[in-house]
Amino acid sequence: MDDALSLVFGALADPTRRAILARLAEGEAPVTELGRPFDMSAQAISKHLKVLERAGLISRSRQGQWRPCRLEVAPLDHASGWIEQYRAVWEDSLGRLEQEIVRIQGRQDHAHD
Amino acid sequence: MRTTEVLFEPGRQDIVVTRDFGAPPDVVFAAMTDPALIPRWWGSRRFETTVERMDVRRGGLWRFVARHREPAAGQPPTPYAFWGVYHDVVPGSLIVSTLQFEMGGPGRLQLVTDTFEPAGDGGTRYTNVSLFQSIEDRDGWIPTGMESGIRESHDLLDALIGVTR
Repeated sequence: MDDALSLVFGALADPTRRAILARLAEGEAPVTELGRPFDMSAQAISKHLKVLERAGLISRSRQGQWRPCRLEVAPLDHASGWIEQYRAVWEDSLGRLEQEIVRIQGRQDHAHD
Repeated sequence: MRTTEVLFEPGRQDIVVTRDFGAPPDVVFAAMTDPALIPRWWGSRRFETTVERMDVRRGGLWRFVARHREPAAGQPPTPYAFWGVYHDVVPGSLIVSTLQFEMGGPGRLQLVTDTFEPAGDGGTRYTNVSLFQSIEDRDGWIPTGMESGIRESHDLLDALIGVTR
């Protein structure tokens, strides 16, 4: 499925790309600097950056040759919102199950009186 | 207050949900596998769940249909059907089953492992592991367009994330 959220999760699935995002969380940086910690060709780094860019997780300035990369947080908010919504439904649902259990146990205690 | 934890890690193909209950495992297991109780807790509360089948034993089938309680005006609610097979059932401790969303098309399903472990002071630690067929499948389980404002997609989203066992 090629939707926005899949692109975000797909982009986050790789440790190199997560490391790049972690670096960008400290501030924008040029491509050459982003590639430095990795034992990879410039081409490989560029490929990772393209995946991140496609997911909307980074943007690249058009200014000059330097073209620094910048972290874009909106898609991450979207992804964490998704997980929070998933958790909320489970929490609500299992909370109702617990209420049922309390009700059943109350009835059993009553029967033992 | 007890809280539900959801572990959703990038690069994995599972989602792990954990919750503690203040009742022993056999009681939690019995409540969770009681067809009469399913409509009272299963899934999102915005949906009404009908149990068509729930044969909790090895090789037994289950099929639930969820319908929005407040469908769009003048329209009947879309039925969202889920079904699967129970593979291993160990009363009071383990259920291994499959789960398939019928609208998701053939061949796409999850392997679900529910465990019920004794936890301090007569309680239970309940864990649900939903294993998808691929990372892409897990991440695509909830379709986006969830911010599109389209009622149907909200319904679908709710029905999908409402899948809990």
